[in-house]
Amino acid sequence: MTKGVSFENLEDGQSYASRVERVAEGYDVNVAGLEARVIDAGAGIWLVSTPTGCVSARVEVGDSEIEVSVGHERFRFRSLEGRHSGSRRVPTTGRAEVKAPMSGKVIKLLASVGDRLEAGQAVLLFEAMKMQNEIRTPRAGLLIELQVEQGQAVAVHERLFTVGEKE
Amino acid sequence: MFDKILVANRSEIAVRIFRTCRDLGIKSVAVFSDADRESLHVQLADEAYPIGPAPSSESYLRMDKILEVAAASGAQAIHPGYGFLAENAAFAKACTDAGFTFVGPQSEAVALMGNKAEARAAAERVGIPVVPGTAPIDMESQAQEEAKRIGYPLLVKATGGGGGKGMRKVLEPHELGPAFRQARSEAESSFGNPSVYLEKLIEEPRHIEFQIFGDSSGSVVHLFERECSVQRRHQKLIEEAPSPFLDDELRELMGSAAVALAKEAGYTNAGTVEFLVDTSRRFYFLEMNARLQVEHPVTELITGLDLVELQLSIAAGNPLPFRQEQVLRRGWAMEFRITAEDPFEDFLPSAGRIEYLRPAEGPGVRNDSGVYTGWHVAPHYDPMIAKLILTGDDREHCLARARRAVREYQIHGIRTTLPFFERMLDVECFVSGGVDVGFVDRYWMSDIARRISPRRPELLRLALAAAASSEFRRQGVTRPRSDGSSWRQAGLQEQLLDRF
Repeated sequence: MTKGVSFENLEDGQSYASRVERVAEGYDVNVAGLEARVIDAGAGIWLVSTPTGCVSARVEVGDSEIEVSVGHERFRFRSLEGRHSGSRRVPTTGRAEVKAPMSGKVIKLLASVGDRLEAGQAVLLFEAMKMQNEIRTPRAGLLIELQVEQGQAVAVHERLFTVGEKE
Repeated sequence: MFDKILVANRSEIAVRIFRTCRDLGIKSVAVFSDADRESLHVQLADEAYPIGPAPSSESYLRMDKILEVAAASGAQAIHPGYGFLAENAAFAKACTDAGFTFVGPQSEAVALMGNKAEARAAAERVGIPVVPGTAPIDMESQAQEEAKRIGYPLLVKATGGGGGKGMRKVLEPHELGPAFRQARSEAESSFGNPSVYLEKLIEEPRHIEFQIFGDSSGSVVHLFERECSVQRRHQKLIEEAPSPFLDDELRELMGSAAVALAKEAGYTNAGTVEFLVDTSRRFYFLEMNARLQVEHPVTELITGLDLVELQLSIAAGNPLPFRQEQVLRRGWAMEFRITAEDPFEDFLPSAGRIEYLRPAEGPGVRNDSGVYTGWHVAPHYDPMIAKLILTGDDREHCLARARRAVREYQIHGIRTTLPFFERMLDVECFVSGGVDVGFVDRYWMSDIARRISPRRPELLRLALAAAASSEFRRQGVTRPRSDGSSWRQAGLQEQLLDRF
């Protein structure tokens, strides 16, 4: 089975398209001119072999971004898969709890509790690794709760806000 | 020598002490908090006993519980390591009173050195320069008079506390009045005490310290210096021995001063005399640490001595096995403190599980670690998890090995200071041995952290390959998660299609 997976590099906004093929040992990946065999070593650790070497990488998947640490360097990507999907179905019931993708700081709140939000609307400005990103709601609905304040430092996976409908 | 000792500490330093115990055939006893049940120091001790809940105030600082365990286990001596109770004179005394040998200086020396004013007075008695300063000053006119005496630039500092509160830098005489008034008002609001004093500002100082050892017969030797100028907000990050700044003449002068101070204090066992050295090579006594230091391995590697063995031997009543002129040094050593802190997020502590650990190995490498793959770094304690220590024939050789070892050392799952070291090893000022104690604070975030590693473009492609594989697999997860986002739905469908 082969599949295309695309990313945006959150550092410079550049997009990368990859081809991934499931093979018996792991995954054969073709991306940015690189051919790699990637093996899942468990616990978010991936062993990436190329024709000229091999490294271990750690992949951490957050709600809105993917962070990869390799060789003392850190990268942040966003999967562009959702954009290409023809059957985008946003849940209309239940609540969505949005958590911090990594530890960082809330720079600015862009919405208030009680606001009616559209899917994809920015709720707060978040800074991590000295870079600022808007954190958006995955679904439309009422901003039920904001668990953080402006200027607050938050840990990875800490809840930021809750979007849904009043019960 | 002792048959059995208890180490009133945890992690890296407990492990370090146990290793020497095992070398000497001494049985080791560990104590641990609830958070440390599976800690490496517990695994490497001969016996281990619980002493309470995770917060150190309820475990590693509980003298009563530690003494209880010491008695029950049949230990004869207690080694405090560094931190926790290591410089607590009451603990040193409590150990002795309960019939245990305290592996460290006698409690009187611990108390003397713990009092900054008394330590300073002791230094002045033996003619060691201290940073010129004044007693507390209440009147602005008096401050003007005293400032003339000690000279500019100077600092106005709060008597009641530290942390930069109530502190003002004064470069010129006309700045003194406003600085004096501001410092007083800030000291009043921060510490409820407006009292301030003046101290000469040592510009671009280096932190250079001397390792000393004393025995109960009154002999004292020094084991040369360690330079610890790579600091961030007074926390040491890299240490080395010898100092690239000292020549033999200054080394001899400072070493003799350190020995004289230890003799004045009637000091036994291991201690460290810290100095600030200014750009004109004048040195000033800073403080004396009555304990084994974190950075002691660099001294071990240039002298060939085991300082813990020496500590145990002296605690057992033996004399120093050598005289000053028999202490020789060879080569160069550097220590890198690997802490669970994120250098890209203002050194924010990073707790979590170590998912992957591949320490550096090979020629000239020593790894003093307190962790292993699968260990959860808890937020309760000091974030230091390991010390990477290198030796070389000279500084250049040592730096080359440091670059190799830092690159080789891989830790995944938590943030560490390794990226900081990788960058520092490319900073010309550090490579040439020119760093002062303010260097990292002045340049880290503004300059050094932004440097782009020459390996980054290649590592980006490898990172993308890992991310693509992870996404591929994730999109094939059979159980949709509660947020039900579209790609997961799509992935689910695709996987089902793939199956049939």
